[in-house]
Amino acid sequence: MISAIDYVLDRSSSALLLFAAGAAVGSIVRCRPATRVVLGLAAIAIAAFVPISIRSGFEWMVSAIERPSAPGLLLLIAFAFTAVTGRGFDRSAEYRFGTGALVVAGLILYPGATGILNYDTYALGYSGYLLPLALAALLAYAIYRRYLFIVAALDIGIAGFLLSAGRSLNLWDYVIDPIAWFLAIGAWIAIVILFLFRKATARFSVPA
Amino acid sequence: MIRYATNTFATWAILCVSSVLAVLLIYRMADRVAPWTFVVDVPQAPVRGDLKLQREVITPANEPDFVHGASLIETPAGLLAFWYRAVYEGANNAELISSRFDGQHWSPTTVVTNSKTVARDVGLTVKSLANPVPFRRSPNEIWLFFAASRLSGWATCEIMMMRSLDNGQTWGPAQRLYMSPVLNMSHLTKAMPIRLSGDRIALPAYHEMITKFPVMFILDKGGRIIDRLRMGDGGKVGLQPSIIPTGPKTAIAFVRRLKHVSTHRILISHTSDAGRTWTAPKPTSFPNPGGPISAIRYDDTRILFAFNDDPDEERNIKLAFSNLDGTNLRRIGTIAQMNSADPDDAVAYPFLLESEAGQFDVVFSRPRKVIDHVRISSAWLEHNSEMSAAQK
Repeated sequence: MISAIDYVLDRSSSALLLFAAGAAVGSIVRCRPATRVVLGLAAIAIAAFVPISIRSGFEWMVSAIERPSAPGLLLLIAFAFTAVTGRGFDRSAEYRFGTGALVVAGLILYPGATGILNYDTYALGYSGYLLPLALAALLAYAIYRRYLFIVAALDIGIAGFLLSAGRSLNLWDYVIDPIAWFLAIGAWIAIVILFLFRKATARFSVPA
Repeated sequence: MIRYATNTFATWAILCVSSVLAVLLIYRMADRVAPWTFVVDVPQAPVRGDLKLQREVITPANEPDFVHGASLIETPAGLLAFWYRAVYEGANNAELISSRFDGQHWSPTTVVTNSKTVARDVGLTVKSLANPVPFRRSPNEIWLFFAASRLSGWATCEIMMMRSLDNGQTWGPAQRLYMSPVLNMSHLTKAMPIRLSGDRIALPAYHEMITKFPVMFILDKGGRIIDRLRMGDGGKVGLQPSIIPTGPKTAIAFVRRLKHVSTHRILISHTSDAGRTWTAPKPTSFPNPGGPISAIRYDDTRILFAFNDDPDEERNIKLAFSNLDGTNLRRIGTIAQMNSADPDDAVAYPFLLESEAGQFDVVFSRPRKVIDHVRISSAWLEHNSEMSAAQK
């Protein structure tokens, strides 16, 4: 039997993704934040009642994506927050750096780990200096720039690994997960599009 | 003033906590996985037993469901066989089944676990189960590894494990093995694990989603994955490695070919550093229709393996000897043949075990309602080996 903490953690990615999706729909049709929260909760409820195969859509999603890493959880919370408040983080240097680091880490990890490339980068998370030194450098830079959310996410991930608190004994699983990677890629696509849009708007705007 | 002091204190606190964590992390990761060597069991194979093969059907005569992926382990109460059963391959609500052999008869089947029980054990819904592989951990303890698909298709499988502390009478809850950063998919088992020094074990497995390649996982004494070693390159290589240690640092692995490749032959990979690195699997002279090879150490100089001796179909199951580096393969004889009158028949997925000194057992499936068992003596092996050599 699994513990209550494991049960909740396993469902946190799916719940936050569904919530953010529901709230985002509310922001598209310009609902108030309170209505967006209701829409986010409704999205979870609908997924819980719509069956896929022998289980509910929510349980199917949980089985597919299960729990996030510490940075992944932080990013999901940021997305849910954005969906509810409409406040974007694309102008935040910390957000850009954090999502950028996730994109790069995923590019290093996933093609090698899945056998698309010959070198298995996932094995670096079991032992050796390379990955911990890279994380230490990332942590040092985040402290230097006072990126406190990134520092907190990395510290929680590293502490979880040191305490063997998760199910995996691989360091990678505490600092990145595929959902976080995809969200970070999406975030960077949005950052680039917004940057280009603002640049184009500034160029064609007529001074009063 | 107070705000400045608070900010300074918070900054120093963050710096201290992060520094301590970083130092502990580097210290912990340095040589975290101590080197290992293979535990080499060289069995004594006295020439004994009958020159006749002993055959039984394990599954009930009226078995309505799909059964496949059989395996074996020896227990004090007799041979114990496992396989999986479902309405069709990969169907919902699959079951892991066992049956015990008293030397003459197979017992009625027992359900070890099923998808619903596994889902309750791990807290995630599980669709189907497959390929149970037992491992003797201690005189009374058996670990049963198996593949569990969380969504649909074998590519969404992960490997799980159950423990029995009473030689397979009762089983503990299933637990997940964490072995992949991609949602813990997509690895499966097929061949028997092997012992390593330091009370660790090596679990042969393979990756299935998009790329297909053999992998060796290192488990600590608690059954958690502590290292992962790819056997050769990534990409589309082969499946279902069967690893045989030939020395403390050397081993050979027989690898099933992929269906779509042009080389319809058994592949072999080698290691000379206790599995840290493996050579790219290379084709041998023996055919392979895309079925698993089950290999065990036979004696000082030979490996015994069961395989389908056909490049295209699982028409038969034969036994063969290999020398320890896989350069000299020699057929011994046929132990199972498909029914030539039935075009849908096949003899698939052999699993070979030396259950006693000089006594060997093979289980396999026929599509796909039957699990068969054949008992072979070392006398039969030696006799047929001599006949085969003489014919050559």
